[in-house]
Amino acid sequence: MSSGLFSTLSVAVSGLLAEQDALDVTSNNVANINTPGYSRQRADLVAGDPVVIGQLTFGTGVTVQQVESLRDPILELRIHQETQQGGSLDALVAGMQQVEVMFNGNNGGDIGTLMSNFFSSLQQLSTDPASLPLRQGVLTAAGNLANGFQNTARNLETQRTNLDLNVTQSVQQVNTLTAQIADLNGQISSLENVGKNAGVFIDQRNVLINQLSGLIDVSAIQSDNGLTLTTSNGTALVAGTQSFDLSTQLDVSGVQHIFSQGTDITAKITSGKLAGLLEVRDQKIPALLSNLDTLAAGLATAVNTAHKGGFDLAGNAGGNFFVPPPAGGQGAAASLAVATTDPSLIAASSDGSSGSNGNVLALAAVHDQAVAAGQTPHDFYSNLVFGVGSDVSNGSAELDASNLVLQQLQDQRGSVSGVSLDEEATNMIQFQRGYDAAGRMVSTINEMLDVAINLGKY
Amino acid sequence: MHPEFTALDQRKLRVALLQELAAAFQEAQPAIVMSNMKHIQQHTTRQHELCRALLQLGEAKAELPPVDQASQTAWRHLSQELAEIQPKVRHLGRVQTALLRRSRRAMEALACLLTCTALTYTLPSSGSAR
Repeated sequence: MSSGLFSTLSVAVSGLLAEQDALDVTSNNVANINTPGYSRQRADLVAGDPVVIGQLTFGTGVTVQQVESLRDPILELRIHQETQQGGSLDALVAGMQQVEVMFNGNNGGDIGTLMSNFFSSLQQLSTDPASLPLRQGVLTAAGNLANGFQNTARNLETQRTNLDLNVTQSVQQVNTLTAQIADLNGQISSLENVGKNAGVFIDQRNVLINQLSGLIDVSAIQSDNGLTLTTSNGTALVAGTQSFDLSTQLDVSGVQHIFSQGTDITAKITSGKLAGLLEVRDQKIPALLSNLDTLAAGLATAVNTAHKGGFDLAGNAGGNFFVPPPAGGQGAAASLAVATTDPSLIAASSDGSSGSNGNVLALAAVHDQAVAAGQTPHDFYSNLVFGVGSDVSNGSAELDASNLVLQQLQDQRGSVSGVSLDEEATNMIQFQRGYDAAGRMVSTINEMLDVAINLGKY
Repeated sequence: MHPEFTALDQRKLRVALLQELAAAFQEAQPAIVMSNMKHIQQHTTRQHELCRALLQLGEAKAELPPVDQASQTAWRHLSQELAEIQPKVRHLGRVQTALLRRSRRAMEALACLLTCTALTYTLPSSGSAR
């Protein structure tokens, strides 16, 4: 016997231990089958270094070289990128859907319906221009229209404020996540520096990076010093074990801007939930408010001009029908109001007689005049509503497309990193058989040792 | 064929075609996501055929000429189905457009990458070509 029974026993024991370790890995995989972000692990078995005795070379058993986590970094990167797109679109669509409700004509309280009611009331007054109830009807319809403008402008401002709050909360979430990622970076480095498997922590970090991707655009750079995370424009979020907090500060217009180490990065955030929130807050809603102001100012000015060309019930020249809009039109929608509460002051007459309806018809003709950006009030408003609807439809389609791509990427990830119960069951049987065989070897060698020790006793 | 029956039949056919088109859009999604060109082509051909069939049907009539109660009920039922399927087809069409736009972006990025590397790529010697 060239290597001896004890070395044979040692080889058999190495088999027992290796199979046991491999079973541990299988067991851990099965235990984590439903753990989000978990990448399945594999025990890499390698033959022990052989020993040469004389002319012969003997194996020394088996060892578990490493426990490897199976993941595809490119796939992870693509999942992060798609999550960023999805986060941005999700926030955009959710924000615009809330805006869409304000322009929804189903409840009758939208500006389009209220404008129609106002012009209808003028048409009715033209049939009996001296009628006080009909004049009161015009004032009521005009008041409702003014309230409609005010409410819509106020609701848009309220939504902007809510989005602003959401921006602040999202920034706090970003800071929480970057701190956790920096902490995990430290744990991963510590383990990898001593040659240990940091797979579980890397999985946890990937889950956090994915959550971060849902909030802000993230680029990951792997270096010798660990993982560095930046936004796509290079703003540092995490460098190794250090995280860089983002902060928010109110600007002169009263909305929160996002700062990183003293630099305003608000306009540089291109994807993730924050980008979607900022797009609705800083582009979509201000554009809608501006358009509403243009419409309110144009309508009020045109009605006032027509109204001043007529005479009221007492034969006096007409004054302003609506309170004149502010110069430049900014804030016109929020401040639109009827200038009088007295129905007799409506300048319906074109010649000073109470029976004349000439000026009411002139007022009603504003319906077909170009009052805002060369368009009639209804055309301008219809285009505005169409724009909102189009934003929601296109955003929803883009979001669905993004979700489809993300789902496909996650399926791909599942095929690489996911735990397959069938495969683990096969591995389990394989390692169990290996363990059984190694156990039989130990048992056999034990019997052989027994024989060797008791040689000569019989 | 009696004109009112034609209108009803036309609407039935329109609804059926739109439902088939919606299904065709949905079936095409995995092919586009996976960039499976063969399947994309098959689905596109199918969609094209369905669109052509819809175009041949002409404009949808808003109202059914006065006929019996059963036809009116069927007309209302079909109108409801039409009202449901039309926005669905519109949305699925937009989703397919968005997916194709993404595929195009990916292709452009790949083309850009190939153009960049082409400058440093050395052709294998002719002796090794088979």
